[in-house]
Amino acid sequence: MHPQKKSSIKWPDILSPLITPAAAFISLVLIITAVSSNPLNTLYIFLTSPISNNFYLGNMLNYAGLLIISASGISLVFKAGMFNLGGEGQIYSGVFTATAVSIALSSYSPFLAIAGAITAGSLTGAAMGTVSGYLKMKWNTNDLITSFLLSAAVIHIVNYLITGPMGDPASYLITTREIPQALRLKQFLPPSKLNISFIAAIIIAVIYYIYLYRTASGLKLRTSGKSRLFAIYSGVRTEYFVTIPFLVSGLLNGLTGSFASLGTYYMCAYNCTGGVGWSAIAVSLIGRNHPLLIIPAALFISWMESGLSGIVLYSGFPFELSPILQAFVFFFITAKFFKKEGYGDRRHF
Amino acid sequence: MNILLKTEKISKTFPGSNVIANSGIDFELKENEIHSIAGENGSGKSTLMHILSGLLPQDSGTIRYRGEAVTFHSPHDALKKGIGMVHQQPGIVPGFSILDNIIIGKEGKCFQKIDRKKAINEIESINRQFGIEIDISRNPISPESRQLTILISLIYRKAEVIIFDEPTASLSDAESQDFFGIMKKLKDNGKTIIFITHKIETALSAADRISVLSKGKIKGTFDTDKTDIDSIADLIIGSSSGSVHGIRSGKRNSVGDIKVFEARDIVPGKSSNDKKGFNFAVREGEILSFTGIREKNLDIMEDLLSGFIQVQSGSFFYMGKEIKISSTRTLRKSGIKYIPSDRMGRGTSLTGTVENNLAFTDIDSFSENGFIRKERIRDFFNSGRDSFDIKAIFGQPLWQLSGGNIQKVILFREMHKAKKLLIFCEPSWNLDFQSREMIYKTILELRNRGTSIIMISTDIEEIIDLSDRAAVMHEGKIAGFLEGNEINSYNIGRLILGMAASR
Repeated sequence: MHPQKKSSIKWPDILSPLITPAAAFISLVLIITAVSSNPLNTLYIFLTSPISNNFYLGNMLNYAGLLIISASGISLVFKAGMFNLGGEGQIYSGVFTATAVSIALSSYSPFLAIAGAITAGSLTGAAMGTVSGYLKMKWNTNDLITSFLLSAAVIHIVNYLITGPMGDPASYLITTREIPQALRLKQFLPPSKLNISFIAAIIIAVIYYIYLYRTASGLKLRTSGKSRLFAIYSGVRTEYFVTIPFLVSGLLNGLTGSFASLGTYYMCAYNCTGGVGWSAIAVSLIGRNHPLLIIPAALFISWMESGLSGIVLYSGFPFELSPILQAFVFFFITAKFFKKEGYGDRRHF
Repeated sequence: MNILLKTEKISKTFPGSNVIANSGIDFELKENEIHSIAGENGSGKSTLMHILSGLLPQDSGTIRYRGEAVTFHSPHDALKKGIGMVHQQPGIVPGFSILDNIIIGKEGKCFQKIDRKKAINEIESINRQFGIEIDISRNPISPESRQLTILISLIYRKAEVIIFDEPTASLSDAESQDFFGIMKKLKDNGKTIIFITHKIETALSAADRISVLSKGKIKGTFDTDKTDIDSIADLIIGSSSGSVHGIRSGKRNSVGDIKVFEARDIVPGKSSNDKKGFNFAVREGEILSFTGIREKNLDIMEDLLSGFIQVQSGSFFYMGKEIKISSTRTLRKSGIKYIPSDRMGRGTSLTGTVENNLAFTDIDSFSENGFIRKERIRDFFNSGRDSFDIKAIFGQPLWQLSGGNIQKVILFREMHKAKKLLIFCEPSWNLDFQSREMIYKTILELRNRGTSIIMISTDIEEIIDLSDRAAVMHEGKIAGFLEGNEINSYNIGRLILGMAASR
């Protein structure tokens, strides 16, 4: 039926993670050329400002670390054949819980307070993820909708708590109180926020890779996601691979929030996460949901966001245009994403 | 009565299959008659009807309607002339009520207001005229109401000739009676009807004339009052005979007494009031086969045995102990091997690699402490490649393989470790002649080594060639068991058609 190929290497598969950033970059250059009075300088700032000093470099890496942890969670659910669109709310609630718990436990030893905060933040995210997963398993509820709506609702609950009961009346921001100095994660490259969470992120990505591609359970999860009927036929308890990926995904998002709280924001301010959860979905998609490709993808997105704030600050590039540039990248990712769906199954069947 | 519709030398071959579905068919339909079409699966009944209703173009030949040569490019063309077809499982617009499904496409111009009141009046008068009892505001539409929905919509569009494909296949007896009542009224009101069926009895009682198709040709057209069930059955069965494979199993008349697998009074879940369950046993080193039509017979048997349908009552016994087959997991854990008829959906992960497809059903034995031992999978892959001649490379995704090689992957996976029991559905599905021979030999070797095999197949020739005992299914029940030389196409054919086998 189909001609057999000598090797299974397919160039589109290898090149596609590179094509997206390249296409995004070219459109970026075109827009900068059109808008900026000094395109070369703007482009230079865009490319170099993220590594121009310790502050920018550290923050860029720190942000990439948060993206890696969250994107690992997002990709796990993708691999299991579902969607977790609730990353933003899971992270935000993680920030809130971790902040609240660390402040509440601040009279105990720092180790206990930090451990308690991270555990509580992670469990909050896990609880949210589990709800979507359980509903999917039990009644085949649309996971895309439950995860998104639950997250959207929780964001408002957190907003209410930090505006009212848990708010800091002394601050001019809508925020909780600040986390005491002793409980903040140590900065590796002061004054940047880079901390232990970046190393944790790399370790998580590697463990995730080993789980997905080296263990029987990982293969069962991938098969349940891609060929559910075959998994059932093979005796896999596919219902486990609905709830548990969502639980772990929520846990990782909650952990992202906890790290962000203790190492980056030191409080839970109104809308402080500002789209980390959404950027993590983009990271997961650029990295083709592959645990190790997520790392460069996160660095790319983080670099781009840092470079964009660089050109807004230093070259007078209009602030309003930077989200448009970001939108371009997202556009290319989605385009590629849908093309991938048609590749393989439909063409060859 | 004058001839309403006539075909002259209609032929149709499906590209790539070499199967001649229709070969020079001359068919005549008289005005205002009920004409039944009978024949085996694959005899070309549906193809002919699809050509008449504009769904398929014929390769050659002419259709004459009221004496005039017509060409249909689509079902819409045919309907404009007055020919409409009700398919076995008609498509409807989900989320639309019956009323909306009927008027869709006839609702008026783009921005014109839809005159539902007028449509409702018109449809209700149709329903009164033809004795159709249905609530047209109903939404969602139940599967049983789909055919009626399409029927009403055809009458609403002034169809004169209405073709039904197996109209009673998914209906209960009472519903079938209602349906034949409607059909009678259609005739009384001047409509002409063709219906495809495999139930000769109902064909003879409900139709004025009957045409028998076999291997793409018309074997004859008869007035139903001048023929009988046996001569029609002989005409249908008579054409298929003998072994084409050259393999004869050497039937085992004396197998051991050890019952490897047994079903006692098994009633499938969700089945109707009918409480008579399945009873059968397969003994050590025996091939017990099930045959019949697939829908509502063999598919139910397969799904029961593999846990895709739950048992309502009754019990299964494996090696003397009761087992509850709640999913295929039960089979996997007790070492029963199962090759599904849905090879591509159930049997494989097309996007997965060849070696993972081989190892996945038993992945825990290819791993240690939860980690996959790739070298074990590689060894297994190599032994499959060598012993079953699977043309594939380690690491290759399965979809790149040819259909036959994908088959071999599944067959090797399930057959190499089959010890006590193998459930084998449609053994020769999509295999070329040589691969077939190889599979048949492997089946017989397994049997001779003492493995019991439950074979579920619609291919009567391989049933005859391979099985030691055969259970023939009809209307969701086991119509009869055949043994040894009783397993021939005549007996099988009669049982499939709901008649007694001659011993």
